[in-house]
Amino acid sequence: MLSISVLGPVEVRRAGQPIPIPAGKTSEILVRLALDAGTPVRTDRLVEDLWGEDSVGTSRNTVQSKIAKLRRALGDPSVIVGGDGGYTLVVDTADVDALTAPMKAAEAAALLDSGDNHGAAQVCARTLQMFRGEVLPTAGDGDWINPHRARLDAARMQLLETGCAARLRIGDTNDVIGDLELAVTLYPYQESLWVLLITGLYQAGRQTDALATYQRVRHRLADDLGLDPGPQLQQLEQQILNHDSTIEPPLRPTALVSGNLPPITTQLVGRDNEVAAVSALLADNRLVEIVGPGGIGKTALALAIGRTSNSSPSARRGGVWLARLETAVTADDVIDTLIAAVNVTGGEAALYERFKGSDALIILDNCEHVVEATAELAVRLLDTSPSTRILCTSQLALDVDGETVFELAPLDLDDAAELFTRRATAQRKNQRIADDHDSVLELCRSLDGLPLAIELAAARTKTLSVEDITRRLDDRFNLLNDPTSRRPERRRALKATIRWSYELLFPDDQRGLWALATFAGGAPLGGVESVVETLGVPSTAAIDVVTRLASRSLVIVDNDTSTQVRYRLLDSVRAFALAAMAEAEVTDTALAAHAAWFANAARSSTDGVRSSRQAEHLAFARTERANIDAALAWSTVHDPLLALNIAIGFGWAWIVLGDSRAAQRILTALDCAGSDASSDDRATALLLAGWVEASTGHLSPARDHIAQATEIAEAIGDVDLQARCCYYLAYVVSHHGEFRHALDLTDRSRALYAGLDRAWDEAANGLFAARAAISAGDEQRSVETSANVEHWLDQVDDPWLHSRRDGMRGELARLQHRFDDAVIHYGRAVETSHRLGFLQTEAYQTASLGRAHCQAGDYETGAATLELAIAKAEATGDTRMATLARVHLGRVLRSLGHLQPARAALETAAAWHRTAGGGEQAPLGDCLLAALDAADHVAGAEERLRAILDDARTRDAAHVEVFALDALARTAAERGDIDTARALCELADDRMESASHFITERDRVDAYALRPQRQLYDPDQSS
Amino acid sequence: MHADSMTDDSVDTVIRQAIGGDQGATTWIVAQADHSESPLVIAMAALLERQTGRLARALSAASTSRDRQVVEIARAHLDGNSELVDALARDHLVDFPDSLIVAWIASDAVERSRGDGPY
Repeated sequence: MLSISVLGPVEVRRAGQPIPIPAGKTSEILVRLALDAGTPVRTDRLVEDLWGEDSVGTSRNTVQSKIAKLRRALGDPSVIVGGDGGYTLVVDTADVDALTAPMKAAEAAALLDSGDNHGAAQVCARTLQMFRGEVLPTAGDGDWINPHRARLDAARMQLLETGCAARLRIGDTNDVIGDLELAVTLYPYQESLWVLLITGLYQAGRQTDALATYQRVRHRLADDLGLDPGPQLQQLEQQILNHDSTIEPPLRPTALVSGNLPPITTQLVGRDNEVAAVSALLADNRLVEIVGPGGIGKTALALAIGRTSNSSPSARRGGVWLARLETAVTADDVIDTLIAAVNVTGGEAALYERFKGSDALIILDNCEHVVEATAELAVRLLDTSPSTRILCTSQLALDVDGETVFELAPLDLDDAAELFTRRATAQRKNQRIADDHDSVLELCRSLDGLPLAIELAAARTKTLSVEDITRRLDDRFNLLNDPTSRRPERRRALKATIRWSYELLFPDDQRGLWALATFAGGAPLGGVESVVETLGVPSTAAIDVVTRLASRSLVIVDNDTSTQVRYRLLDSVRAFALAAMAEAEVTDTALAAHAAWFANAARSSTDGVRSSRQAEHLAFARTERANIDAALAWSTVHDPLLALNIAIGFGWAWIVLGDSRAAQRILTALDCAGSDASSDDRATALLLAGWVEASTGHLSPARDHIAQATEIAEAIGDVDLQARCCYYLAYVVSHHGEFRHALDLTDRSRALYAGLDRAWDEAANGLFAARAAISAGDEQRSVETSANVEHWLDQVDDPWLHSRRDGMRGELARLQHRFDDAVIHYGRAVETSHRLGFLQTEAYQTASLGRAHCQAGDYETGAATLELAIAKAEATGDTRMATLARVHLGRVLRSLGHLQPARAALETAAAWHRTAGGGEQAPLGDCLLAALDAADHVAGAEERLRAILDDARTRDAAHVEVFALDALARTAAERGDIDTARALCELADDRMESASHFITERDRVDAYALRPQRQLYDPDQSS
Repeated sequence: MHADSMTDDSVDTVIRQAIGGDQGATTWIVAQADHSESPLVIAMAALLERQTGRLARALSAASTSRDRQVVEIARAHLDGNSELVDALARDHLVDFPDSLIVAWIASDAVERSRGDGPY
């Protein structure tokens, strides 16, 4: 089946596999035909639409040759039928995204009208995924495409609106507010979106913000269009002021709203009393632990409590989050497991930020082997997140202050029998077991009422009678009966049952179990095939093996992820399998195969992440984090060079994912490889580590590591590596505000790359050059470097880089004072980054959007957007970015006359800069604080301003100079020194010409304060 | 005819004949076992000769789950582990009810059959 996606960059897939389509006119023809799929498009129409003014000289032969090229690319000539008269793309309209999206928008609206809020939200979310940035970007810029773009843009807006409305009705208020803030940026005159945003803010308990937002839209409509808000908005304001109950938040429905709990696969049997008891404990206690032996059903109980919490009317808005700790070994692993579960980027700091103010329930499952680390994490979470609750499952109590321990007992006999009967009936394809109830009770009694043991026994009822199972288990128990053992009887019963179940497996299945046990936190089928083959089982038999193991209840099949089916062992079963594998003396063989498989995946990771298949490669790196760590842990000891290859291979994926622990992993692998590492690998590792360090604000080690890489590159005379070193360093020095230095470095990089055919690196280098040129206010260089980026990015299919291109276009528009264009470009960039899950980039672009709003004249929206950017940056742990946004927020709030909040933002930023040893726009923040102090007549403020002015002149930071000069002029005027004040004002006005892309006249609060003193501007009156 | 040039149906026929006590089929299977790449022929020969040693080659020749299970059940049988044979054979026959060799092993007729044969 052929699927054709033209809404974003053209993407064609046959049976799910991507088919490359030649760029240029061939792709344009495909878009043109796809928009009329199933109906003929006349050849003269094609020529006129696609060749425009050149159509006169375009022959039918040209069209024919392009069609032939397209047919070859599609691999099936019958997909395009026709000839000289015209052509038809023969595909179902449902297989063309641009034709499906408007239908889905209508379908979602109908679902919302019918009250199916979940259905509407799902349809909208799925369909919005089809939009990938600019609409129909491959269709060129002919007039014919405009109606299509308008129609599809309207569909996108409708989907956004319907989706947000549905989510508000569901009660997903907090999450939807951020999306609505973006939506009103993209569609600022769509009043219905403002209605939803204001309603969402009110329902989230933010009445003041809701009313302020009403004022934002009122100003916006009045300033831009000369209109008052429509009746619906006006009525909403009144409803908020009157606390109208019709806009109160809805009760949470029974469906799972947020969090990461897996879907229910089997019904919990018994345990109603336990669910109620633990839920009651959680209502009064912040840390509750379900404690009991393995196999007693702690995890199942915790999941049931989580689901109950989600479905109750007082459900937690912060959601319920499950972190499975069974494969965690170190304290870092424990934290990383929760980070992965919550899917935050930015490391530990981001994790705590994520739960600040959240009433989430966090389930830490299987803690017994990492009790101390779990206790530390739990205490830290409870300290930093006063509303968060934690539920642990463990064989041992954490032993921390404030814990409440719930000892879980086995199932009572009737419930145990019910569990056995249900599972056995399922094994027999819903035919109830014929054995009498007493036999079942007897068996369950012998299994001590342990749910896992009962499940394993029931899994055998397909071929064995209950009496057979009982007899065989009794034999096994007698064999294992050790009167001297001090272990609890129940633990022996479980181990005996697992061993019994294991011994009845075919040898291939036993090896399959060993193979699965080498994986940490689940395994993809490809990995199982590879490891199982090393253990002597043909890889083609692997799927049969895991299927049989699943039918024996020894393997859990997780198919709720968006990536692929994964296979997982319960902790007790995995521990048993690892011991059995060790007994067979094949542990190292299996672990080596495991590491080799991930090393192989690492080899294709960077190229994959830099291609149109980015999403799947990033999903792999994210999903397999624990396995990659396990492969690294094994190979750093047994095969350090393999470890280095793994770390280097996944390095770029970790950078794009914003994995803050990546530098640590890479440097550890490099250290273990020692002098065996090749120069190229060593330099590459240092560069990747440097990038991660710079992106997390650790600029000093980043510089050191890149300097070391540069030394290596020069010593071995590797031009490619030297070029890479240059632009990596440009990235780092830009963080220090050294934009001219960054430009020199990108120039050198570009010169070194000449003739090397490195399109991706050229594009990345170009983006840094453009950003540095724009930040330096150098318009000519900005235009040149931006054109260079456009040239190289046309040859690269990396969505991450493309999202940055939108940002660059926004920055260029701002530099050229096209502020309304800047808002549009930044809005697109934010939307793309949000859709692709590039959270750090999204935060950065949101900050840029906020600044652009201000420059376009909308300071209220600018301030709100900057606050949103700070929240996004903090949620990803990017404190550097949050600090940058705070400097700008301080500037904007000062302009709005909100001096106390402005000071608070600037002081927070200054404190961070002191700790971090500087940062982008640190001088601006210091200058604004000094200006505020000067206005308040704080001693020493004037001296600070002079020092800042001198420094700004050295750095050519025109905007800082303007603020410093204005503040000094105001100080001089206030002490009556009018001549000095006038001279300083003139200097500031002159410098403003170079800073006007960065700040506006409205930012010049001190200059504003002086304007009533006309003598400053009219020398004739000064005497 | 050489065992490797035979179809699965032909191999099944010869095995069925051997199980039924056809001396010619039995002789042919044992004669082929050293050279054949058919896991079923090798496993059948191992059963007929009580030669566990042949099963390693049978397993390496077996690529499907079905054939590998037959070889492992034959091994359990030759090892005298009747409890395991019983459990594995039940599992195997649920998935592959037409599996001749396993049905033969499970019916406990192997010993009787062997008693009538030349080996």
